[in-house]
Amino acid sequence: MLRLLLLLLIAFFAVLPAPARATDFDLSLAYGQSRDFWRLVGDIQDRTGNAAEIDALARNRYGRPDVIYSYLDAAYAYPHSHFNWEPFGMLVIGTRAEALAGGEISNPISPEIQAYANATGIASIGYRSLNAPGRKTFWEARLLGGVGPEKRLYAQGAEFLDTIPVRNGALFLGGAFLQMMNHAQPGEDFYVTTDLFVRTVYFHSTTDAPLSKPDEDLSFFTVRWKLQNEWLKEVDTFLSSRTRLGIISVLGQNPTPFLNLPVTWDYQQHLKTYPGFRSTSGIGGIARFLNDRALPNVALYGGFFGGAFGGGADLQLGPVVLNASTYGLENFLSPSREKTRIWNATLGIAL
Amino acid sequence: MKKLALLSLALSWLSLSACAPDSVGRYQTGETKEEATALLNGRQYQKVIWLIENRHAADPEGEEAYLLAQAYLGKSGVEPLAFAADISRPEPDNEAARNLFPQCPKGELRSHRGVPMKCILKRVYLRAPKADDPDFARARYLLRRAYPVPANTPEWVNTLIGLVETLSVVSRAGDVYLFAKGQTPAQLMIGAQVRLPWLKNHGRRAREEARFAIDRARHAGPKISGLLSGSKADVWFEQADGTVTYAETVGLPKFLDFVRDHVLKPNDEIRYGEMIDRLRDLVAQEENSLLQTDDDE
Repeated sequence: MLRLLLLLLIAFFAVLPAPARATDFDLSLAYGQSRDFWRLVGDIQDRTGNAAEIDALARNRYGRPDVIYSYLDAAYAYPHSHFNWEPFGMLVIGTRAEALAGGEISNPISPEIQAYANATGIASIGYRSLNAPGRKTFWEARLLGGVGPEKRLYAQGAEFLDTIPVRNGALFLGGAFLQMMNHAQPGEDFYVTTDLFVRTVYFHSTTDAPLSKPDEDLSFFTVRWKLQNEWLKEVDTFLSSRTRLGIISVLGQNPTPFLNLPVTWDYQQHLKTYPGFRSTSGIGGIARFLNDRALPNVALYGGFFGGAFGGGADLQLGPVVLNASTYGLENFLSPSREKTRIWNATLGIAL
Repeated sequence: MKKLALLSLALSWLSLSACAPDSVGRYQTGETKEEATALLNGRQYQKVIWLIENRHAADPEGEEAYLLAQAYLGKSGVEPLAFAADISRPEPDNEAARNLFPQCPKGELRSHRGVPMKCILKRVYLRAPKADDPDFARARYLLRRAYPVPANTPEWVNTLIGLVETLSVVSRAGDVYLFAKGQTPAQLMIGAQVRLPWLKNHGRRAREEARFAIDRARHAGPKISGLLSGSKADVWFEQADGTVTYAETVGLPKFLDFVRDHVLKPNDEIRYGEMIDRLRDLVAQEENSLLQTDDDE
């Protein structure tokens, strides 16, 4: 099944028209971590049957979810001749490799441990807007498909003292996303940026459900949506004559500005389309310091996103963008939906 | 000056947006399973109790009763993993520990293998809350109310309920054992109850709790004994089931006679013979007084 899917993807790319001129190449590398939960899982499994040591390991970890992820994303775009419509004037082919792991121990009275890890390769193809000077609105739409191994672990109550089985399987995903970005200038020195993103993905896993949770469903659809706005006023400050100060607002699941979580996050967290207002809204302040070439060289932002403080900094050096940020991410593995503080670093290159 | 003011404004905005809503985020109502579980994670048991009980005029049912029971259980000091860990730790040095099976190992148990069952039960007794401790008793009541039918209850919930019932039985059995050995339980010292009603009450409740524990164990596999003793065998409940059934069939005085004549070994006879006689006499007196009460009525 896996080989067949890869062969189909390779064949699909092989018959595509050859690139012409004015190509784009984007590369981004991201890493985010709270703590390595699987180390705790390993420690617990090393102490099978020893209640005292297992209790000592778990004692202060209830309600503290952990996550770690990384991904490498590359996209190559070039003008195509399939149809003549500028908003989708470029064909874009993307590949992505991502790894995600995490878990949580919950409830000292009715203890439950959950852990997951997956590594997934994702290929995508679609269209995006031509990068023409003066363009205010950019579109991108892609189909995506991926596959990779996963492992999961679940135990409840007395099962903590047994050998907790790690269940292995393969995770398949297929879906599509649409993104729109618009830069508007309603006033002489007032700027509004809108970034809209919608992605729907079907996930299917071959991993068996745990014995003590036989009704766990590991095949489902998710819909991720995000609307991010910047409302900026340009002023003259001693840091830059073109300083833009304003508000940044975000709506959608994991409402964290400028943070792209792994696609498989949606699967591991059983993403809900609307998990509640608090979980889907964020607001904060942002300051951009622009240089003469109008590049957003430095951006600082901070606020309350998805019920927790978050903030970060962007630094643009020519085609290279560096980002460092921290957010409190909600965890949907357990009913308490506790947050974990994640520290994220991203390196992006746009050629 | 203008630049400085603008910079201050920007920094103030960032600070305000970061800090202001924090108190809103911490405001808890306990209205959802999400919030109650978060409070349980933080071991804020009294807060869960207060929030849930203030929302209900009567005792809750179903999932809410289960959450409330967990909070009461936590408040009474029973966290299953921590409790299982405590069994391995050295015995506390108190009068009950000295009087109850003094030959049992007192130090840390690295493994439960080879340790006599009575020594494990002694440690359970020494760590368990008293069966009539108000928080523990309420947890027991709410657990039964939340999941009354073992066959329709998730396995882990049966394990938890079975654990609570087992702790109750062990606590009562330990109290009666110490009482029979001449040590006066705290309940009697404060004069709230006299000896026979106390014994009667303990016996009846222990029998009821043993029945509940056995019922739950049937639907929880070997997990209850596994949690307390590290043993996967269901031997506890097989033995307890047989013993309760037999004692109910022949009557407690005859059962104690049987234990004395056929179960005790010569060494045990020296140690426990006198104690069993005292207990038998008390139970016989109780049964006589009950018969007298019935006649009077």
